[in-house]
Amino acid sequence: MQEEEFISKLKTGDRYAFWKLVEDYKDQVYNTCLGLLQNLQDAEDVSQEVFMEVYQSIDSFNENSKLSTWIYRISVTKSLELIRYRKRKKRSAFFRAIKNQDHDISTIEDKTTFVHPGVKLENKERAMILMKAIKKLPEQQRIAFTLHKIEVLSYIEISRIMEKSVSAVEALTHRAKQNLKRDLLNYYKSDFE
Amino acid sequence: MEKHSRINREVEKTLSALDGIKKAQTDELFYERLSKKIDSRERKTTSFLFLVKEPSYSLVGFFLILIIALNIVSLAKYRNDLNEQWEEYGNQQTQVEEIGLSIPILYTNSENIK
Repeated sequence: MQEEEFISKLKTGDRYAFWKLVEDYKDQVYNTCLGLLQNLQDAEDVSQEVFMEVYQSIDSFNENSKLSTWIYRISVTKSLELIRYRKRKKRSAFFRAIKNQDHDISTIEDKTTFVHPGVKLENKERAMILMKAIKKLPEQQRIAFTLHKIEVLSYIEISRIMEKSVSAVEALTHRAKQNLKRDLLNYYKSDFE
Repeated sequence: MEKHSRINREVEKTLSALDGIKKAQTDELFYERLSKKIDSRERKTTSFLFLVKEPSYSLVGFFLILIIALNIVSLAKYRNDLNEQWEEYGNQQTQVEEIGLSIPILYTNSENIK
């Protein structure tokens, strides 16, 4: 079936077409959300939200971009929404802790360690350290690096998702690598001392 | 020097830890959970739309709103009337005091008598 025909079926509310769409894209969406959110339950919840958004707003899909690009874009946006929400919550908890001196500030620090289920067994320890460093990257660098490394997308595909030029995406990924390198150098320096 | 190159090696190894990563997969019941969520959200939207679209429910809603609005208006009017009455009473009191029509107190309490 051609993509146009498939989209028009989706627009008529064809439930079989929607089931097909979910089956085709669920792992792609879940993997993207998981890479960005680094939490299994959050990734599952946001993936469901992504498909609900697709179901509700398929009429507004203008077909200028590919369906997969549009779905990726929704996945990234929804994941970022949750990341920002969590950051806001953490910040307000931090200020509350400062206000109430009796509260221990160290409890607010993010101590969660995430291991992506697709990582090879021998790389688990290192992947955990790398994922923690990725979490500290600025938003745009984090998206570009995650889509490139975890979702294994090309710079062209990432540029379409992020609505940026290919060179801009390359620059973002390069800066992300530099920042990660710096962060890891500090980590291992303190580890070796 | 040795330490420095060891650190660099570790960094490089860690940076390539995600190479050859397999894609994470959802479980088989993903669509069923999603379908349930969509259905329940649609049911909520439909029931709301039903309330809006169904003429009898719309009529009941309209009369309910009308009754509440009338109650608010009459309450406001009542409060206004009450205020006016108090104002009038205040004016009368002032007039009584100005003319000196107040009743003098002709008794004192028991302690003072003693």
